[in-house]
Parts: sequence; structure tokens; C-alpha cells
Amino acid sequence: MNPERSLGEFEQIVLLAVLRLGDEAYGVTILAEITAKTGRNPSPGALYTTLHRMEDKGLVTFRDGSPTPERGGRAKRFVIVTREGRNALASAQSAYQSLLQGLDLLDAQLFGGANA
Amino acid sequence: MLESFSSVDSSRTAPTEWLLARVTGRERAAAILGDLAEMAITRSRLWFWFAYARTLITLGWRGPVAFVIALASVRIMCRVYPMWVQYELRHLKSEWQINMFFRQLAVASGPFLNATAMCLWFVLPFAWVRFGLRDRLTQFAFILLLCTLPVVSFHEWLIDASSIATMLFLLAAVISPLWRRPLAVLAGTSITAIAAIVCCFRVLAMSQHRAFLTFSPTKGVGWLITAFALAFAAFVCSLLHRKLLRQRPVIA
Repeated sequence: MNPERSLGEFEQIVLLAVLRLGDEAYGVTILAEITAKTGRNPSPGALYTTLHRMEDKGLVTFRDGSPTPERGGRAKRFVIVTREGRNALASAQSAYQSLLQGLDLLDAQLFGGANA
Repeated sequence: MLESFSSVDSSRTAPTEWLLARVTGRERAAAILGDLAEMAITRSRLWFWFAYARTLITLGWRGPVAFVIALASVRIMCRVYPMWVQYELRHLKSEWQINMFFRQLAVASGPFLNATAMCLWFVLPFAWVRFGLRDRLTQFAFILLLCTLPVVSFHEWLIDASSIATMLFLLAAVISPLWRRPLAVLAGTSITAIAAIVCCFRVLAMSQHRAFLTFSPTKGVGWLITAFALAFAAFVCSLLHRKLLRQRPVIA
């Protein structure tokens, strides 16, 4: 049995974007989804580094699509989250939820500032 | 509408794909280039080349940097170790006897421990930068270096303990499924490095009609041969790591 994988913040964002996109998750759509949902604009290099690292960890795998003319005849490479990736993501999200319990992020006393 | 990259002559993109494939593999390179071409349709040609360059650097910087750092580590070790040996030999008693518990083990393990420690001076920093601190190869190399390092202490009991600890650790690695593969990668890399250095020196000695065992090239040539051999070993290390240590995914 493999040890639990801890996920970085960007890894979680990428995995969530892949899960949201379902069968249509590949480089272009993942970047668009992350930009649309988070307002961040990650570079393609950062995304591919993360995807390859997660593939090496066994958190994602790939399947090839059909080549298209606008891609110069190159096939898309669709990303699939593995069972281990789902478990790691669930574990990370569960940890966040556990830490967030009891905290009201809009609590003025906790965060002070103009709302205090 | 901006020109689609599908209309770009494929001979112009073949070198870019070839270069990207050197750092990330053929299939990944083709998919990445296809993605960049698709995104460049709504942007510009300049954006495409800029994104390509950034992606190439992001994906490929670890290998060369890891090699340079590992080479520097070996260089430092080659300068420091002889000085250390000379210092220790000057301070050893003239009647220093090897009074070790297992004489045969001591006689055999000394050169083995030395060779192992020297190989690890390259493999450990290379694996650390190339694959990260959490990688099993890095952790394995680190533990093995700790086990073999006392060989340079010239204290009998430490060399004894170091020999036994190293043998036990290697035996445990052979038995354990978790550490067997990192051991295989380390062994393959070390054997490649030593074999490459020996072969190069032998070829050079033969070309100069010198006996191999007494052959001593100039410092620059010797270092160049070592660097070439270690570059080959780094390539083998990356290859073995990809074959043996990359996890096989289980689809949900």
C-alpha cells in the first residue's frame, strides 16, 4: 500500500480543474478553467511541470485523443485523475475542512482592519 | 484571424519538438507543442515562441543544473579527500595495525566503501536536485553515504562499524521491496560511471602506448574524461529512474 501523498496548493487546483472538466481535460482547457475559476493565469510550463510530477507520483494518467489540424496534426493528451489522485485530493480537502471548522473567515474580531 | 500554426511548415516545428522531447519525452512534447499551437491561434506568433521557451526552461532546467552541481561536488571531493588522507597518514602511528574484528571484511570493504562513498558524492547531489529530497533514490543515497562516510576516519572501530552498517543496509535494501529499486538505480549509475571512466582511461592509455595501471593523464584531460563519464552516468541514472521508480497509475 502506497503512503498518503501530500498535495501542494497548485496540485490541488489542477486536480480540481481536471475533475470539473471530466473527459475534456487537457492542457488548453485546464489552463482556461483555472483562469476562469481562480483568476490566476498560470504559465503552460508550470501546468505541465505539475502534471508530469503528478503522473510520476501516480496521481494522474493520460489518454491520447485524435490529432487535429489546428494543433499541427498533433493529438490532444487528456488527463485522467487516478484513484490515488482522488484519495489524495479528498484527504487534502478534508484537512482544510477540518482546520476551517469553527472559524468564521468574515469574523471582524479575528481579522481586525476596517471591519473591526 | 491569426495564422494557425497548422499552416506552418512542419520542418520548422520538427526541431522545436525534437528539442522539447529531449527534456520531457516524445509523446509529452508533441502534446505540449499541440497545446501551444492551439493557444497561439488567438494570441500571436511571438507569444508562441515565448511560451515555448519558458516551457522548455521550466521542464528542462533540473537535469543540467543537477549535473553541474554534482560535478562540482565531485571536484570538491577530489581536492579535499587527498588532503584529508595525507593529513591522517601523517598522524597515524608507525606501527598502526589493522586490529579489526573481521579481518577479511576489513580488507575487502575498505576499497568498496571508498568507491561507494565516491560514487555517492556524485549521485546524491544529482538525485537531490534532479528528483527532489522526497525521492526514494535521494533518501537511499543519503542513508548509504552516512553509512560509508566513516571509512575516511581512519579509526579502526569506526571502519568496522561502517562496514557492518553498510552491509546490513544493503542486505536490507535487497530484501525490502521499497528499497530494492533505488538500490538497482544506484548500482546501475555507479557501475556506469566507473566503467565509463575505466574505459576512457584505458582507450587513452592504449592510444599513447602506455600501460593502463601506471597511466596518468594531464589534469585537464583526466578531468574532461571524468566529466564525460559522469554525464553518461547521469543520463543512465535518469533513464533507470524513469523505468524503475516511476509509479504505475491506477485509474479510479
